Amino acid sequence: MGVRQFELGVAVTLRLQSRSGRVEVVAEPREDVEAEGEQVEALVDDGGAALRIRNGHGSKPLLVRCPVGTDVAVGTQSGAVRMVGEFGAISVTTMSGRIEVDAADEADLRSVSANITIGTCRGRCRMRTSNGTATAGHVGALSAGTVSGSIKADRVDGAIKARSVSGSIEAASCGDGAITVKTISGKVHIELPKGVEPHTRFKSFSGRVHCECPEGSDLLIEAMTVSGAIEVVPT
Amino acid sequence: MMAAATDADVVEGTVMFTDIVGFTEFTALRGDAEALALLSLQDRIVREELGPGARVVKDLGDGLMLWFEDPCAAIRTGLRLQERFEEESQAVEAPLWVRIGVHAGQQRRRGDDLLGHDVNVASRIMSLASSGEVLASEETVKRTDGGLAGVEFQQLGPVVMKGIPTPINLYRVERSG
Repeated sequence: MGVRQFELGVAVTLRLQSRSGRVEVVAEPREDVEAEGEQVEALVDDGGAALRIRNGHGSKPLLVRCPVGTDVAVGTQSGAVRMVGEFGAISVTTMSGRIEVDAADEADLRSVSANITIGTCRGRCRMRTSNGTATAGHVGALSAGTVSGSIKADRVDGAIKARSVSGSIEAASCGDGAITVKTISGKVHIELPKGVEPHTRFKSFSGRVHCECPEGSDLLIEAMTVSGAIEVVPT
Repeated sequence: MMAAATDADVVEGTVMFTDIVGFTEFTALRGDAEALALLSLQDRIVREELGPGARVVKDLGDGLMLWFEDPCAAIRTGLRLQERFEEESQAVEAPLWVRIGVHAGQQRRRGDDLLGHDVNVASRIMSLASSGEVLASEETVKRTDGGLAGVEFQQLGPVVMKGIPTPINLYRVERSG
């Protein structure tokens, strides 16, 4: 395992790649970037706008420390990705590696089959996984898609767009953005702040539809399901 | 020793894969007749939107493999297809939820079929897209050479794919403005 340090210019995006090795990125009070891994290679991309750091071919982990607020893009095949601290705009793509993020300004998190978790995202948070679950804490806006995995967001300030095939969809809205939720057989549970009166458009072929909020015009909720239940409740 | 492909077998172009998300579940719940109607709807929209220099290479059950001579046409068609799928999905109240992956490169002919590394890459890219989304490789974006007005490419960074030795830089394609 070797450690390499890099000076980081202003507004440089980090692009990290590892095939099967785990990737951990730590955003902390510092001005440079430190990378520790097996045969770490680095090169400057996009005329200095990006620093690409590549881990060796083995399964050894890659640990990168960078300044708080750094924009980071990570790609792995099976390696899990853990991002600790507060980041700028991030994108993480894996085939089967689990994705866990503490906090970011904007996020695009996608995996073919793994679970995805993010704590906080101030702006728009996109999450996409087929068989894994997509779980968010507090996000600005949510755009999520799964096949069999569930989608869960504890608090969404703005718009919510979620689609699943059979996974359940559960989200708590702050009542400030349109909500579009579609599923084939998954269960939908939406929470709205007490007193919010949504304009609703529900479509279900055989699932139960239940809305406890009075009809109004505060926000639009569109929900469609083939056989899953739809439930909207005040909190 | 196996015979190498001749130059005549090699084509340059852009491959697109489409896939209906949740088709198996929809079929199980709504039956074969509605599932076939959904497939027919996808086929009709695709054939209406394909311009000259583009063709359906093959039917993949609940998806299609398409080929385009011009990468700009591939991107424009991908976006247009998603808009049409969304519109028709609303109109017929059926989940025509399609994900699309696009990659430009070199393909080898085998009869009407196309094979090769760049075909495999396009398929892998499709597997990372959400329903309603168009993803494209960096090579596709480069080949458009700024020839697409009103289209935005948002970089997603490196993607390390199984069976593909070199990471691919991936972009999400959207209408700008």
